[in-house]
Amino acid sequence: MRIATAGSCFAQHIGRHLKLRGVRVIDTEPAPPGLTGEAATAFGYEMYSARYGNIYTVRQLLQLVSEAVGTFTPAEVVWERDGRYFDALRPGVEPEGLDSPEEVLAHRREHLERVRLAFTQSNLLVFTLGLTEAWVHRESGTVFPTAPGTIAGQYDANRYVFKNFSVEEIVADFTQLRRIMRGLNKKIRFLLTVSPVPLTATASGHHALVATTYSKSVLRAAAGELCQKIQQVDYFPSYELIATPFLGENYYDTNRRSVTERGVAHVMDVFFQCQGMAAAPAETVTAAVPDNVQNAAADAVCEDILLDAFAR
Amino acid sequence: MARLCVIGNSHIGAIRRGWDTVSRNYPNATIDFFGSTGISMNTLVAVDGLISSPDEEVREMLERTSGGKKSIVPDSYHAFVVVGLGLSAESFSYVYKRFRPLAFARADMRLISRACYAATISGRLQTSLALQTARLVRSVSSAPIFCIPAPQPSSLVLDEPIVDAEWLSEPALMDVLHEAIVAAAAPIEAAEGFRFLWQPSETMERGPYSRREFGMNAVNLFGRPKGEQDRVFHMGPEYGAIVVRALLATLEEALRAQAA
Repeated sequence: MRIATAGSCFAQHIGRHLKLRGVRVIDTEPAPPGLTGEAATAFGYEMYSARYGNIYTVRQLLQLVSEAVGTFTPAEVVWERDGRYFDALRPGVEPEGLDSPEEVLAHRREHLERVRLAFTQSNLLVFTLGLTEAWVHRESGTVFPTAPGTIAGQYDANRYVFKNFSVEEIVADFTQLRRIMRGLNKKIRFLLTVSPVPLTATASGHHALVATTYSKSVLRAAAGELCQKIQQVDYFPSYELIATPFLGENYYDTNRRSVTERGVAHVMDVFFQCQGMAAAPAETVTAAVPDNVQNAAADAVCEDILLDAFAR
Repeated sequence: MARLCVIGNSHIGAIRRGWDTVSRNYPNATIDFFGSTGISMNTLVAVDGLISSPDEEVREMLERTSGGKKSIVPDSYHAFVVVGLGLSAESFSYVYKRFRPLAFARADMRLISRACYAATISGRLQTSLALQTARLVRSVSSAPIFCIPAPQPSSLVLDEPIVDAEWLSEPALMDVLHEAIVAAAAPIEAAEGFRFLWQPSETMERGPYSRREFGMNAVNLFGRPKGEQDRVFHMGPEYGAIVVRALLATLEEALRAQAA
């Protein structure tokens, strides 16, 4: 089984635990030798099957795969901040930016080859649906993982527009995504999950609690519909295992947003049981995590926290 | 009398032979050498204030290189010098096997940004056996600790590239690497107090390469000639003499500052 992972920041936990338990997770953009741990993650390595950073929406993944196979060209690839240049479609992977727009484009070209390779090689894509909210380039419809002006770029209301995807749009996007991916690899299957991490901020105009409930409901409904309609799509209840109050244990950290390491281990235990694979005891996996992240949200990188700053 | 303890791998051979040739000029200094081959020094541990290895073979190497001592008694020394032990352009340049900055891009290699490259070199330095050893010494001694990298490859590689390490024959690439290593060392010097002694300029030529004549008489861990076996990565007594003179000048300055 060759697994690719992608999704919102909770998907980092899934990938990490899969590796911890000896599952072969594809990584077509491994870190340079010597760059490990937090330093590697800071540059977008070792998070997913290629160095695409967090993919919060199905539209974002559809766009990435379409670009990788040459059927989509984003309207904006380069964002600038203080004389440094960022890949607008994965602005978090180079925290200091690059020297020139040309360098961004060269890195992106190489990245897209690796994305294509990752999805061509994988039998299973585990995709964690994270958000319904996104910022979109008005003219072209290009969707960005972060709001323009947070990590880089500049917000311009005439240029960008807020978008809150509906169930229908997500189902349509995923259906198109599946078609393209099966063109790359006929045998690929999909395992969808919904991130239990709530929104800290929203551009919808609603309270973050209301926006979270809406967002998770839409994502869960879309995942359910896809699972019912498409044979190659399965669903795993990460969201339910963490966010359902009547299950008893509180798996949220004191900040009420991050999922505790114990919660992640619980989800993964159930995941492995469901796949008929031997599950390592949660204690074993938790013990492999440094003390300072035992209770925190492990070390997931979540750019959507920056929405909070943007919302002010 | 300044007593100096040099700890390292095969690269201590040149320094030892160099010291043999200049020691008469330094009547107030003594140097003890402790070495073992390859990465076997990663077995060193500090127990009851002494540094040694649980590995009998390594202890024998320490005994042979030091002239009879199976362990290091830190209190006996005014300063320590860590030589080589992975602190080398050869080791750090391995990143070039797969990764290149845009200016040096090649179709069969992946791109690496300037910042990521710096972080990679910093990561390799932080986890190098040289720094592990320096930190081990620091855990039992407050004496000054110097780190001396292995010599840069001889300029011979410009004429005779090494298979599967062709990047060593690209001066501009090796220049970038050297700058990155020096930059990565600066915060470590500031935070941990180790002092890096970079290769003296008079031993270098054609940019980041050791002068080839120094490799012609290359010696091994025990100071014996390596012959044709290696004239690129190891140097001989003439090189060692220049390095040891630079070391002692820096040491004198450091000890004077410490006394003041």
